[in-house]
Amino acid sequence: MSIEAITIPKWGMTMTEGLLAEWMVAVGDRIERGQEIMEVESTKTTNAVESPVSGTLRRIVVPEGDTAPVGALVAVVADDSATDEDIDAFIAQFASSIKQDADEESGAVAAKKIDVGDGTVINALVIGPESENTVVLLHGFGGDLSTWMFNQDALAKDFRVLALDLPGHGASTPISGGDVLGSLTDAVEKAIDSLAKGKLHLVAHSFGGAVAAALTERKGEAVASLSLLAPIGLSTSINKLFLDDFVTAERRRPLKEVLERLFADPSKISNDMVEATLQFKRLEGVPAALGAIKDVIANEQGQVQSITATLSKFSGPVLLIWGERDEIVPMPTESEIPQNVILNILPSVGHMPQMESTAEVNRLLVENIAKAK
Amino acid sequence: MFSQHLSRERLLEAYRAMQTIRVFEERIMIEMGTGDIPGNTHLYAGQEASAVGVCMHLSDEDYISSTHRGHGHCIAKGCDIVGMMAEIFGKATGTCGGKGGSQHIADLRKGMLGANGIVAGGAPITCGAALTAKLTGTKHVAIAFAGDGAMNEGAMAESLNLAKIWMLPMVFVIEDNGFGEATANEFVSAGTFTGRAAGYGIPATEVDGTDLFKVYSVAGEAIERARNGGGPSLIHVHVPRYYGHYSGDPDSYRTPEEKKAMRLEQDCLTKFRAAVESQSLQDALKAIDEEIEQAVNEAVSAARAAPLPPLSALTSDVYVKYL
Amino acid sequence: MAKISYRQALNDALHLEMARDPKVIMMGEDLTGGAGANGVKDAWGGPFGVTRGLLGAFGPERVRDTPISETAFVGAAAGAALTGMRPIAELMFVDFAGVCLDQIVNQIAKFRYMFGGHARTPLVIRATFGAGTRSAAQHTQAFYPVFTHFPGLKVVIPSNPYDAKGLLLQAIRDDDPVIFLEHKMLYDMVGEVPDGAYTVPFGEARVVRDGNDVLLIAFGRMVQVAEEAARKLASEGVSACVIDPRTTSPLDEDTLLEFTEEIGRVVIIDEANPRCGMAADISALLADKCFHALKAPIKMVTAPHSPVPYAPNLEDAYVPNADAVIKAVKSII
Repeated sequence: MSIEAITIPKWGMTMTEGLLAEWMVAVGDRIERGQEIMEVESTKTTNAVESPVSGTLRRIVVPEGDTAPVGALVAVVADDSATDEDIDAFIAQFASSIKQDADEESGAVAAKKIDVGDGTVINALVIGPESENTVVLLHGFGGDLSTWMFNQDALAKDFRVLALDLPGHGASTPISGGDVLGSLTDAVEKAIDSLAKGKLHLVAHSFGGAVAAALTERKGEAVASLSLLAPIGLSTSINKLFLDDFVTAERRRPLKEVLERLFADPSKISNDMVEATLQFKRLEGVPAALGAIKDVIANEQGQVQSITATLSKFSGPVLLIWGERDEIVPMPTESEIPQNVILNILPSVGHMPQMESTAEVNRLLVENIAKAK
Repeated sequence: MFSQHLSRERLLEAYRAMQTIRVFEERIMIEMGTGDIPGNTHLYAGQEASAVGVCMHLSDEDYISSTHRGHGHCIAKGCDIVGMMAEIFGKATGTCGGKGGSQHIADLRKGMLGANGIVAGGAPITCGAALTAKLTGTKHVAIAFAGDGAMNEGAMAESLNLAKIWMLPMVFVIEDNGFGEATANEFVSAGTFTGRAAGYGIPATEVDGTDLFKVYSVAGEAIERARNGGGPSLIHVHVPRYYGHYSGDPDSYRTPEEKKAMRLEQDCLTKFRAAVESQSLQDALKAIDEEIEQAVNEAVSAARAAPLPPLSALTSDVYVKYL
Repeated sequence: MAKISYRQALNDALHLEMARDPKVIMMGEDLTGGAGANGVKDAWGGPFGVTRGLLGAFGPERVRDTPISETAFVGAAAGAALTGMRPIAELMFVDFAGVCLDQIVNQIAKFRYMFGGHARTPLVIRATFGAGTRSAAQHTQAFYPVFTHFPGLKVVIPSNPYDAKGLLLQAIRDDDPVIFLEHKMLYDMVGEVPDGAYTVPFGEARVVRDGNDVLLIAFGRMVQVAEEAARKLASEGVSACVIDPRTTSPLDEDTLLEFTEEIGRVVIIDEANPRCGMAADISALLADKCFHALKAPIKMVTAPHSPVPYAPNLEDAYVPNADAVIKAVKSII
């Protein structure tokens, strides 16, 4: 008999509670793992939540319109062999256990600033247990560490997780002169060295993939696994117009339209996301830094970077995740993907699989990391 | 004779400026009669020695502000009469593109911060220009031209105080033509202008504004004081206003005898010609007269021939950049 | 990033920009406090503490305490701006604009236009405004409708610390005259503000809160009132969108029209008096351009047609509050 809890998820650093905005299934419905079952609203975003398990929805504990703390039980999924009394007992026991956890944990986790020299500061979030295995999360162009808000807690269950803001993004200092990718990787490497011991499992998105490849070249055996989400550097074609438009958009409406191109479902863009991106782009030094990174990613002829060689030589497990409807970095052809690399294609997903298909992505990441340990 | 203190070149320069103003203003009066000049003008004729005597001490990098009666100050400060005439006719080739008109002619390249339709409106602005000069250490000065009527505006009192307390490099040149519009100055002004300045600790002198050389001398002292960090001065210049307050004013509040006497006895150009004795200079002056006649004629022709501003100018240049 | 007050955010902006650009100068009454006296210098740091420390950092030539002569020093700011400086003049209370209105509306606003595009007047006039401190009729007005009316002026009304710093930096760097209005009751408001420099563009509204049932448009302190109303309405199942235009001139018409088209019901909350105010101005715009999308009349929640009273209960009744907003919303839902 299996009884499983559906809970309010934790997204990002500061979320402490969520509003149950909508139930998309009803008691008695059969649900599958990965199926969207509810919409939860935090102060920053509204998102559909996928069920982590398959089974029958037996009980809804938090109805639509109610707010509950992160981690609270909102529904129970079980197979048909569980009785209503079993469900009641499960609910009662869940309530008392979460009380204990609440006493131990505080609500929000804060990022910290790491001084990496030369006036550069890297903003970093470290969560999860102490470990000889650190998952390093590297976001993409124009993003920041909050891109992993739906993934970081799933990974932090079993691993040390280190999410970084790349220079010129989030709260990290901009870099725009000279060898941009080199300086950027220097800064990231120093931050990682000061925060992580043992093996590194690099999880990178888009431009972050080029940084991950550069780190792999430098750190050799210390990198145990690579999990890349729609990385640059595997083929030449790229949506350069997106990069140009992202850099030039200075107001809400044009920027919103640009950000919508990232997702298969444009309604995923909230006004808060647009505002956060606008605020980031207005910081002194950021426009120049973004322009410099854009030039590192692509020119009129297409992509400038290549990570193929690095991946081919890599002895650990390499996972590629790609959204079938990615309009920004098109999926490489079979011949462009090295032999040792496994490609997972997600249907109905655009360029942001970590946000568009969180349960599946989390599962694939955990699986790939486990292969290396 | 004071004329010995000015070089030949400077004497001709002074004459050219004053005569240009006189001819320009008299021509405006004639053109107003054709109905082709929009709105109103306020003519400076009679007051020439004041503007010229002061502006002879200034470069393009020094600043002046002016009044509604601003043509004389513009010309004395070096503004181009072709652009000015076109502006007064409201044409696209005007100094301000036809957007300002007679009362708002400005040329910042020449340090001319604008004629001003608000009495005493220019005085605070001049304090600002003087502040710029002081902060940037350029030794430039700023002159606030104003009329007798302006002395009773609060803006003037505030500006006198501020100029002194901040020791600004500026001179207040109060051109007293005896009338604030149609009302005699005696009827509305308490005390004396120099007394008021003294109240602020500002050095002040009175001078006969029909004598270019006296104005030049007094202005030179005040401007040098300003350039050397001695702060503001006030010059109370007595000048005759030949026309009414504005070009359509029948000026009936002055008697015909007064007005005739004014032209005969208080003409700064007549006095200048008389003071400049040598024959060769007199010939040079006549040559200048002819040049000016021609220049003003050409300015009028050019203004008449020029187009009005395009409709797009209605809403252009409200901002440097709005959205 | 740090959590700082609106007052501190403004102070940061002034420090940053005065350090970056030597042409920036400041003048106003008691910007420092203690000038010419025997005791402590920078005794006040401004009547509300906004300009503290600037005297020490930049000296008395660039940070000038003025006589009580608004016409003279606002006009001096105008003249300095025309001749290459970037002055910031402060009106202790926006109500004092009456004393120097000629310099603002007949001179500063009009130089560029009158002089055929050959002049620039890059100055900022900062002033406090708004009700809540029991300062009565002559120290509490809004005035922004008056300034908004005049072509040639830009009018900025930050509602929170982040916008205060970014909009002030933009105002100082802007080449046009800007009237920058700080609500007295917001000086102690705390919010997340980036440490370095950044600018917030003019004519760009901020979507404060998403919603679909009704659109609340609010300025200055009224943004908080709108947010409070929105929270209360949410608990009753009404979802309110809140938009802060941030600048009334230029006005982000596109955003207001876009959201009115989507939502169709609008309430405008404006602390200024109702005749010829921003609420009326925006109503006309929406009625003209979005008539067919409107599902109900546009409601305006404003102060009454009276001066600001002194007695606390009367002043509290003068200012629009969340209950008044909720009532207006319910009348059109």
